[in-house]
Amino acid sequence: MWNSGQQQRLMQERMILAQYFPTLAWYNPVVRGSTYVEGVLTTNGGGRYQVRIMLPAQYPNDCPDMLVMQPALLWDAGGRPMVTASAENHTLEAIGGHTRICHYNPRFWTPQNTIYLVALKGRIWLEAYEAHRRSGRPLDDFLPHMGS
Amino acid sequence: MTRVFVYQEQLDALRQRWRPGDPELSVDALGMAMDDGDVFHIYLQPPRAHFAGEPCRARVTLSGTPVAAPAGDDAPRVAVAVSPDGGVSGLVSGPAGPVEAQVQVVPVSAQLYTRSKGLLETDALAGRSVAIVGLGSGGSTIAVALAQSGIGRMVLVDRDRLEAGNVARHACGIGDLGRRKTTAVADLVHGKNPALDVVTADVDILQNPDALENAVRGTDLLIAATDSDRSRFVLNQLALDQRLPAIFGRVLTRACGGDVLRVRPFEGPCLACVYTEQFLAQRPREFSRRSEAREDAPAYVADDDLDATVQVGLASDIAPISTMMVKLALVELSRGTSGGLESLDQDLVADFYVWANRREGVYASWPQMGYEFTKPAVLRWYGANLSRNDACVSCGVAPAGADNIFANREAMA
Repeated sequence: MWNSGQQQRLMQERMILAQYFPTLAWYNPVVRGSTYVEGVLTTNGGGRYQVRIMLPAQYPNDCPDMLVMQPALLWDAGGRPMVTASAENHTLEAIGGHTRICHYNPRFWTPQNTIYLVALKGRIWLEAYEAHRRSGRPLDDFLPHMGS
Repeated sequence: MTRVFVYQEQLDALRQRWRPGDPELSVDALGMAMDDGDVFHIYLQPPRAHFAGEPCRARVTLSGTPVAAPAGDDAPRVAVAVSPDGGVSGLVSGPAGPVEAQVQVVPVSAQLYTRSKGLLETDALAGRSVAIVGLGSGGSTIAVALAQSGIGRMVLVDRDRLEAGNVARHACGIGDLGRRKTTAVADLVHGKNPALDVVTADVDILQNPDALENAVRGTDLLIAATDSDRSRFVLNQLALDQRLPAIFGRVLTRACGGDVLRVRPFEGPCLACVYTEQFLAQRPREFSRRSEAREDAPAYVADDDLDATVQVGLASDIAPISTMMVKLALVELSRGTSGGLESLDQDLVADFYVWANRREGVYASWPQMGYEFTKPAVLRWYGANLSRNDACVSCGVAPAGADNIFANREAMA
């Protein structure tokens, strides 16, 4: 069970997320360390990606993980699976075979960051991913703000 | 004269075994010889504190008669006799035969802090408790200092063991290599304050929040001496949730300086009010080990790049931060006790303090110390008047309108 401070925080987050990302739903919402937010994000080009944001037991003081659940695995422009940590691609080691987006540098994560911001960065990453697939340019070229 | 030390609490335990009518009660004990046999410490129970010396046999006798010289090949090297009225006598066997020794009974607590009286009400502090989370170079020295101040109860929390790379800056030494930091520091503080009630918790505070909360609950003050900003944020939330005053401290890259923050929950700024993303980027913290840097960096950062971030300072660079944390802790703990720290309380009005060890890093532009006191300089404390951030997501007021999903566990899919 999330503690009282975390409960207050998650209730606020849920309210904000419902307004700006209504396609994201909450799962295991009361079980500390098992809660995740999942749903479909659609890019400007019409691409549909099911993403999952997993909240660690010490959220919001610890950085959440973000995975792309569908398609189950993303491939880069060179035809390689995006399963390893890559500064160029802003990815981390895959979890359960799912591409893991590096959305925030954990070193600079603060509790002021929110699930909304994580989802927003995921949404931007997906746009960059599609631009990378179209152009072959490194994904990092499209994400200067997310530099490590 | 040869001196022999025995421990009051261990003698008290022995007396309880002495039945009326018995002429005497004699038990074997562990003796530790030091300084070429000038000094002996006698243990009737396994020592709780760090000890040193060469082991030898000893015997302690509760008896109405003075100590008798040990005889026989297997005679103990040290013999101590304690009479019913508390008188003690001792003999130590040497090459020239047994010699009389001066026996001193070490008090549990009553006399250890007599010289602090008038400066700090150690009796009052004996009723206070503190939790220290993070027992590295900062936390271990803070633990010792607070134990020496007469704190009554201490909760020690850490997940690590003491490694060779720690020793140069840690309060514990090479004799503790491989030990859990919690138990090594517990032994260390017992050596300073035998009456101290110490509880240890070997907890990874990021992975086991419930154990952390249970360990800290009921203490009067939280000392946050961990080595990552993530863990500091966790402790900040814990302090807010438990309405527990907290002292945070950290050292910057290359230990060029550091900062200390006092959090009085909902009265002043909390850690999240001060440690914003921009603040952390401008004042990067120190990494003393590659494993620390690895935990705190994205997985794609190469080892060579990590090595560039691991730049340790000296123990003397960390000491000012630890000392300031102890000062703030003692002010918090002694408030309302007429303990003699009122003037310090009046001086330490700021919640946030900055310290510079050297003119480098974020302090590179500071002028040389010289003889002026009107400009910022190294080796001086600066208090900053920071206010609470009303919009802080950790300690701010929650906006109305949020559904309480936790009131009904079935509310959400």
